[in-house]
Amino acid sequence: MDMSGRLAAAALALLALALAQPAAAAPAAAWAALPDWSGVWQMQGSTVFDESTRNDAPGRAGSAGVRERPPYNARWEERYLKNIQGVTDGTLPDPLTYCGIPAGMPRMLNQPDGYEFIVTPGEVWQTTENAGGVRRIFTDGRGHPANLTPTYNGHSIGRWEGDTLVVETVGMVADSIIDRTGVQLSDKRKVVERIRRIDADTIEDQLTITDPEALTGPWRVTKRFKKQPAGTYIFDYACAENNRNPVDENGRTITLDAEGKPLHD
Amino acid sequence: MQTRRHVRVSTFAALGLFFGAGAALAAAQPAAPAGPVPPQSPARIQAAAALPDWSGVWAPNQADVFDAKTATVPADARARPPYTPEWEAKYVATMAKLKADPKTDPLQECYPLGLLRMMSVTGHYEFSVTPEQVWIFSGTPAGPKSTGAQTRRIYTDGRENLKGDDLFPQYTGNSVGRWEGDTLVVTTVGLNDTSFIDRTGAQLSGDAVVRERIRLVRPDTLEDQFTIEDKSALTAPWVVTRTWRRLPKGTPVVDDSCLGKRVNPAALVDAAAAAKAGKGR
Repeated sequence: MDMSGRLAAAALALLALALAQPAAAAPAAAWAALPDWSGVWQMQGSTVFDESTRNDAPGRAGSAGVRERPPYNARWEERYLKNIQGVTDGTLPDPLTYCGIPAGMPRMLNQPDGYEFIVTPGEVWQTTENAGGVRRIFTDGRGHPANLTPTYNGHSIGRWEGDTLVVETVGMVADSIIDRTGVQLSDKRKVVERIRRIDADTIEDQLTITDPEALTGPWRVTKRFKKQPAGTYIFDYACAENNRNPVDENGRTITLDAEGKPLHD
Repeated sequence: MQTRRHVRVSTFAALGLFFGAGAALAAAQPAAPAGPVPPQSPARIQAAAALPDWSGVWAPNQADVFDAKTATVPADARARPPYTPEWEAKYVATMAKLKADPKTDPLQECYPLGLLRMMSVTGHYEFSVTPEQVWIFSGTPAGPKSTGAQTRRIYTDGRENLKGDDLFPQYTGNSVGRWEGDTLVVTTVGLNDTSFIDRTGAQLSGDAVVRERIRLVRPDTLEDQFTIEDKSALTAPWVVTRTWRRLPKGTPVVDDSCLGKRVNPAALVDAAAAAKAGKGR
């Protein structure tokens, strides 16, 4: 091998070494700019979504009169009243009880048990213990895809305004039920959030939900999450261990009563 | 730690939704004024900056039989754990049952993937790395063959594995890790003995201890070396290596929905209303 060949080989070896050296995920400055939301956080308030406008005490799903106050247009209000009646009668099949269906947005912000906010440069994940939800919020500057396939959680992009994560979510599936009272929204809905740690123990998420098909104006609600002691665990969640809406041998979804017997023939 | 409460909530998973468990617990806690948001500690920033870049979305380089090097593909695929005769017989029987009835597989009823199966499914993987904790998310996209998704938590904050009364069987067990340079060294205990660890129906006992060494071996190749010991099921450590390749930046991850393939919520609402009116079913 001549000199130039040897040089080239040495350069290649150096390059290989450089490539093999794993790069750090992000410099200290990128992490220093982010807030510390580590640990486990407990959703506050009831599993009725609209804490500010609900008109009942926290209680069992199906409690008579439990409803929320989204600014529905007449058509969707009528539909919601039917759903409430269904909850009261025990005939509204709530997708969460089918197991294996994600809570979706914005319901995934409205579940009991623990939450995690995984903040990294470029992406934030939000997890829920209840039903094992995972939501991805891209903060790497990307926009929404041009052709969005509707999904349960939709497509979320975020940007940091100081210590506030501002998130916009679009592309959620039509008609998903977003709380235990039977609130539904269309696939035209958009959810804008401002998420911030407001004190040592609290993360607050201010939501503004718009939906030109179902709502006459923005629906604003706030959810809060309380920090749990260091060392708190989030454990596996197995809905299938208590599936209230299994699929029978004919492919039909059935609803089980408290004794595990089908409610309908 | 809130071990016991979480056990109950997880066991009566779906019921928790109905009773609004969170609200009841929140109401029971006395209100105390919270302090201001503490600044992020310099030590945390320093630790974060030293973490390796496992960002993005990853795809497995091996088939969905856990132990790819010993798999005979595709028809009679099986893994080759160094089983005791008793567990080998159990595995062979399970394989026969699966062949006769695919519903033998817990995934058919949307049970969690668990560990190790979540590390061997085809589909997408994410490795989310922070100073205190690493998460691994895996799953297969919604569709007729979706297996759902699994989240795994590896604590790197210095805590030890649960033991004694605090340790109980879980789908993903209890994992703690520590960083040896760029290698995440993980020990997992407390696995349940009901999950299949891959699609062939291989299983481990509750005594299994899974040790892993996870690291980037090339900028876009992540490797996990597993050493699995199980005094009840195995006669020797079972050593398996799996690797993943990083997919192009911006690769989407869609929500995984094990049952979404079978259920249309809107149609069900209509069906329930029809049933109520005495028209349906």
